Amino acid sequence: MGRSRSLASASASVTTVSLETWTLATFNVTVFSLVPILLGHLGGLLSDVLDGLGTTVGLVVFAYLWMLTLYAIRWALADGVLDGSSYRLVLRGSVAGALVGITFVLGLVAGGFLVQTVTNPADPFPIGALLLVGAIAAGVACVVGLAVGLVLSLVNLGLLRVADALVAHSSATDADGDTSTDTRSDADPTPDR
Amino acid sequence: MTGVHLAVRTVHLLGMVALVSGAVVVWGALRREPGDPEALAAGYEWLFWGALGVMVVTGVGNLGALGGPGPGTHWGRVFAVKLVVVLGVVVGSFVRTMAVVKLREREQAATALLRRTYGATAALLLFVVVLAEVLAHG
Repeated sequence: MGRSRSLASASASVTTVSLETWTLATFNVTVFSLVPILLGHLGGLLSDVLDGLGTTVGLVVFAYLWMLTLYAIRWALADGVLDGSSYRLVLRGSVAGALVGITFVLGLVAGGFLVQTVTNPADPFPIGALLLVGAIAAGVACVVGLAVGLVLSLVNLGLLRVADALVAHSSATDADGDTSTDTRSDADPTPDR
Repeated sequence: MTGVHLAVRTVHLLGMVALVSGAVVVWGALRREPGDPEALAAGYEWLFWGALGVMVVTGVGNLGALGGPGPGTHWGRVFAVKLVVVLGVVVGSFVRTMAVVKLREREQAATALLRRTYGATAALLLFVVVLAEVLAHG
């Protein structure tokens, strides 16, 4: 039983880290999408913007952004950043945002170039102009991504504090004798880890 | 409506079914005091965030395909309320998931806390369903 508990504990540890990454990545992509949609709708601009974006292209672009964010968050959370200082979390989150911004825009530029080349081979986009557009777009995306990463890191940090407080309050309730809230170590006096 | 749009709308509906039914099932299971409530909750969290990402992208796809009146109309006002409620669900769910993660790390059981959070999640998601019905049928 001790061995199975140890294996379960190790498995839970791996799952926990992955769930954090999965949650942070999806949360950030979702907020990054929903807030502009809400603001665009309230400003009356949403229909015009969405009219120019095909459904299939929109699905592919969102999936691409989601995947990039997942990788960036996995990098940002490496080395126990989530349990370290707030400064380190915000710093790595901001850098991750910049990296996502650059790779996202460069991917779109490269994708647009490929589509143009395949669909209209007689009139390809000049390579020199492509590199210039890519460099400018990457620079702008770096700054925007850094800013978005900073804001989202601060939001993440604030909400993590709320989750901490919620769990701490739950522990305090436990100390006051609420039987539906307990700790495993208390419940099992002989933990076999 | 093209085949792609129909597929997008179907996936959007199925995603909502997964979110609501999952929250209700977890809440119901927590009322019966399961052996490992955090493991049950963590399983739902994986599903929740995956389905949420799909819901957002298919929701935007729906909007792009069908268009929609501006914010000054009744439809536009209901849609704005729906977006705000969805944002609330997303923010609240982030806190809920991270609480589950911390409870698992500390090997701390908190069935009452989890029961409340999943009950609230299910209630808010049902409210989103009602708003979606109003948007679809007036």
